Amino acid sequence: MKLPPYFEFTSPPRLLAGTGALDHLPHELKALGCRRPLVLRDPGLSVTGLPALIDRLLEQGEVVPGALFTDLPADAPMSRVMAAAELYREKGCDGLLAIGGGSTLDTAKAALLVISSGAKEFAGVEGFHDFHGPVVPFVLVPTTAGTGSEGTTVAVVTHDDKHVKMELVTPRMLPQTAILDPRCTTTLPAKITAATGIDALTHSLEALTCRQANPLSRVHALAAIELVRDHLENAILNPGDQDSRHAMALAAYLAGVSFSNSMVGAVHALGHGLGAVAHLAHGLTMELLLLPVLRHNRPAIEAELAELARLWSPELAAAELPDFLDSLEAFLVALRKYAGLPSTLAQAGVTRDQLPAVVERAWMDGSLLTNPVELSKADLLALLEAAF
Amino acid sequence: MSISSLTASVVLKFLGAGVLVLGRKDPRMQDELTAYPVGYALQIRAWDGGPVLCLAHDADGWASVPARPLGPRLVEVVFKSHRSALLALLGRQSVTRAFLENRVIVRGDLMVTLPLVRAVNLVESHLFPRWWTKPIGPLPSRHLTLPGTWAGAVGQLLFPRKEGIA
Repeated sequence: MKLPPYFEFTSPPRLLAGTGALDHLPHELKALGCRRPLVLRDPGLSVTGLPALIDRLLEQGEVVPGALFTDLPADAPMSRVMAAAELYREKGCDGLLAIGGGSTLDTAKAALLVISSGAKEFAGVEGFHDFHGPVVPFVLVPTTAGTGSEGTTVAVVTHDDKHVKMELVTPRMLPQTAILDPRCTTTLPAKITAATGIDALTHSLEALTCRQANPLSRVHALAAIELVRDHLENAILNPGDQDSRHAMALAAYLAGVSFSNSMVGAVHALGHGLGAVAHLAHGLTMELLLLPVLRHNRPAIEAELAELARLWSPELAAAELPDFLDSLEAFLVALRKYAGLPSTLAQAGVTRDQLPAVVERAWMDGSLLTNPVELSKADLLALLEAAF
Repeated sequence: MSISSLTASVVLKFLGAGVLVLGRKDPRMQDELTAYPVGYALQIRAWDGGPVLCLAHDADGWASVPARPLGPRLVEVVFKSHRSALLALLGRQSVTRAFLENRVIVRGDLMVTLPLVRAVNLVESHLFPRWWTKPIGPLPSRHLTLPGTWAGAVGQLLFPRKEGIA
């Protein structure tokens, strides 16, 4: 592969992955010097047995939460970040534990910066690689397998009044420990399993083909792609299958580490725009945009596509003209069928008059810089039309 | 003042002048600058405590102004090292590359950083010869010739104008 002249790679979390991983949560917290954590818990988990399991484990391990914070709506509002930080200070907590999906983990990551810096206002922690100093003990337990937020240096927070997204990027935001336990994802519905799994696949494919790919991000991306190939379908069809859930949790983490250290591309730039304008779930936007963008990028990523063809299946590798994108399309079509996902933007409820606004949003997105092919606004609109 | 500070200071002045010149001549620069409403300021700092370029958008248009303290409606890009700053500011490595390789810190609203990066990239592609720069992607095409851009930048520095840029 072409070696970038300079790159940085960050992956500090201690990872506990697999059956029974959660059982070690109290030990990990205590090892970090945390006996009184603020617990941020996704409110959606209340219908599962997970909160009771975690409460029991913490009690057995003699870790007493300083406070529980469950007011965690989607899109990580800034007010919730500040409220969590305030509660932490008020209750004299000594560490942060977050259990939930992407929004909960992003809220926790932003709160970590506010708590650790002593900032009184959110503006004090905004920025890119601009956080200095130590952070408080921080443990993340993801309950979806898609964003890989537990392995990324990014958090996205929403301004409550202006409804705009604010991005924080710093390696200091990574947890000291991340716990991937298949028990956390077995209750996910098929649609979310499929959409989040495709999100992880998209992270990997964009990380592998983007301009800032490096040898380490590449290794992580390829490992994630293999796991998705082998396990996503089964995780949808047999939600209780612990092996597939374990594999998908790991795939999401690996993909998160990969893209966090290389960046992504136009699928994400457009996906973020669709999320902002049409309020589509992130995983769904990835599913709808992945193929049109990869096809557009094709001239610049032939070598990577050939490598992916070899990785994807022996039959494909042996074919006279192996086309990874055709195989990927068949894979996505099958997933859509199993999970009942839409196959076009129109089916997902996007209207054509929303597309120019999506383009304007995408044009401001940093992911465009790393797309392997330079894109104009007209190109972006054409890609949306192709997915429409 | 050290040689590196002096160099960065001079180059930043030309970069700022280049942004204003292209802002009058190149629709792509105009498009990037419209991302920042009146009241916004863009700051490029060579390194912490180093020379700084501040471009502010007021009711009359864009102008190069003295550095501003951090606050709302200000985006500041700071290079992490002298070497990274000089390589990017002197056009040896494009500012896009510096951004993607994490050689910079961004303070303020990250969501509006990209037009600034593209704007500086556009100016650098006008100020430096093609063979000089190692870009990370294709360099933008030139709307003005290299000598024309330099002449415009010198003119802008000698006779500052801010009218004509939205």
